[in-house]
Amino acid sequence: MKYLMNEWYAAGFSDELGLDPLLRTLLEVPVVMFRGESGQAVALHDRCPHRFAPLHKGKVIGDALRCPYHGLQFGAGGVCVHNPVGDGKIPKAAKTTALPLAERDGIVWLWFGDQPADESRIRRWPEFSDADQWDCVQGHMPIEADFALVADNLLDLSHAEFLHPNLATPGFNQRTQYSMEQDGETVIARNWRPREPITRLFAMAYGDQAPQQVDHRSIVRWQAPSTLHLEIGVTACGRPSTEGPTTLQAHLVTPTLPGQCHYFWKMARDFQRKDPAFSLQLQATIQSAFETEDKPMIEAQARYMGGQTLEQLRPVLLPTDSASVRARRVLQQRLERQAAT
Amino acid sequence: MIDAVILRRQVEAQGICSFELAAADGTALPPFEPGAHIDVHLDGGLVRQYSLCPLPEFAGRYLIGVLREPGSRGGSVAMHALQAGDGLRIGAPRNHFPLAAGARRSLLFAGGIGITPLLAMAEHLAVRGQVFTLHYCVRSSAHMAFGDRIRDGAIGRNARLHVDDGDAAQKLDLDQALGQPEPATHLYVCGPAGFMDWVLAGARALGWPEAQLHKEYFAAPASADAPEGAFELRLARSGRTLQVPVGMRVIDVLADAGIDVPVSCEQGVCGTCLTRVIDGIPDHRDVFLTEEERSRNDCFTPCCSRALSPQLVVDL
Repeated sequence: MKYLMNEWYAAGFSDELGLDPLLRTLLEVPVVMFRGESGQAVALHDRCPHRFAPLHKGKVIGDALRCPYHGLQFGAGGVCVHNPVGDGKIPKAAKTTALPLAERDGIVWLWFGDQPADESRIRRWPEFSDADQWDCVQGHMPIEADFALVADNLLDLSHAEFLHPNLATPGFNQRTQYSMEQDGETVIARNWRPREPITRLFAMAYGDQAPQQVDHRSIVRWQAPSTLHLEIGVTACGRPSTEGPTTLQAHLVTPTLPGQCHYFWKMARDFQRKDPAFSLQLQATIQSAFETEDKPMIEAQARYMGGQTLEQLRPVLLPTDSASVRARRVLQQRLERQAAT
Repeated sequence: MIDAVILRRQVEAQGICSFELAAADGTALPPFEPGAHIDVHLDGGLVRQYSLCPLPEFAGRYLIGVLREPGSRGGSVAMHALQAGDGLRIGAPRNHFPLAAGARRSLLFAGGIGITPLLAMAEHLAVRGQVFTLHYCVRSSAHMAFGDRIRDGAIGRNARLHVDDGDAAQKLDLDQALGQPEPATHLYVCGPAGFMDWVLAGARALGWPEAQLHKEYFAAPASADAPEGAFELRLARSGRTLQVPVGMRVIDVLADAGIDVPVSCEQGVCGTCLTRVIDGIPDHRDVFLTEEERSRNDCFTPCCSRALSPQLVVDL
């Protein structure tokens, strides 16, 4: 098995689910998600057990999804709740697989494993639902590359100098103090840049009062299978990090088909609060950086790798790769443990 | 590696000095979480770990507490010899002793110099209005570092000071201090090995689950006492013996002897050159191996790692 099965995978955002069925292929399983009239979110294998029609082309009726082909209706748990044909008898086998679904912090998580879905293991971002202190923006995109390449990209932020002119400043890699550590199965990459010219993004955070120089920190915390917690913030030189503008981010990468993944990001900020126009601008800046800067690079990388793994191609590695190497090793160890049981 | 300078050296208690550190170039030192420590690199290749416990207003500067241990192999003596204005090289902070997220109550047990990480944790918890108790055990009041800071500061109400040579009433009643384990109560202990074992054994006897016990040993990693020394490399397959002199890497010695070990990054990141160790103790200087893999001492990265033992026998 190439995927870690007994883990929660991000499948979308809560506000994406509604009466219009949403199809996403995750871990090679086509999944249809919707939120019925009672507000309950449901995830089903997108295949009618009758004639294998794609359920996502159907219609939500109450809390059930009606197959677009012969009208069988499937509700929570995947059971057929209505048969429009003949006397309406529902055969026992009229059932599609329902995937355990949980919503936390505005994120929809799915469980593909064979063990009971343990909701206490969902990684949390309490800031995302703390509207008194934080404002959030979010986005997502499909990427034509193995999900681990996206995690590698996030664990080594040294690329920002060359790929993201809004998020970094020229020469900042020379001024970066980088360190990696492992805490249990969490891999942490820290980047510290004292007395650094402020980036365009954080100049936006300060507005008119932006200092020329700041202490800049970015801390990336990776956990298997591929969820990353980023803290990126600046503060006036020599001041505590709690004083300056901070962003806390979730970057969640879920495999779709081999060589493809879906990338979800959500960012909470403690500056320029309650300002919808700023939120729009920030969302566009971030989404554009990921979509027009990271995505084409990662996809080009994947094409040149031609289906071979990183290990097979033996890349030359630099010190800033130590976190992504470690994360891949933790994932590999977990996969080996999974195979052994 | 960061070039730091000692801003202030202060005697805190019998045998204990504190050192306030700043970056030599005047920039702020990296932020850190309570429980974190830094590597301090001393002359002769000595590396020592010290927990950080700066006052909250010390943004961008560090404070470490150092116990002078004359019986040790030199790190603490060398540290105590340093004065304000002296420079030293430090690593970025690392945290192997973090506070658990979502704890409802925290019990902190410090023995002697083990107070340093717990002091930072206690002050962090106090500022956030969290429920905690700090138990601080010392041999005598003369050995109590940071006593005034604890008694007079934000954590004073939550601190219980225990002095070995004091009256019986103030001594630590461990079972009472521990109490019955509760789901969201976490225990943290740091200090001499005997003290830590005593606290942990007491907690386990009361049925505390391992997941709620957190500990920081001051045992230095294997490389701590290793100057950049010469050593002997024995190749088990051919029976050859090579000398690895000071200043030369193992892969270079091997290459000179006509033995080609594949390398890629040449700085301990990629693990390409990982070589099996049959005997001897490697001085791991890579970042590829995990702590657990390092401690097995059954492989090493010849691109950057060396030996702690006089001889290293490898599977080449």
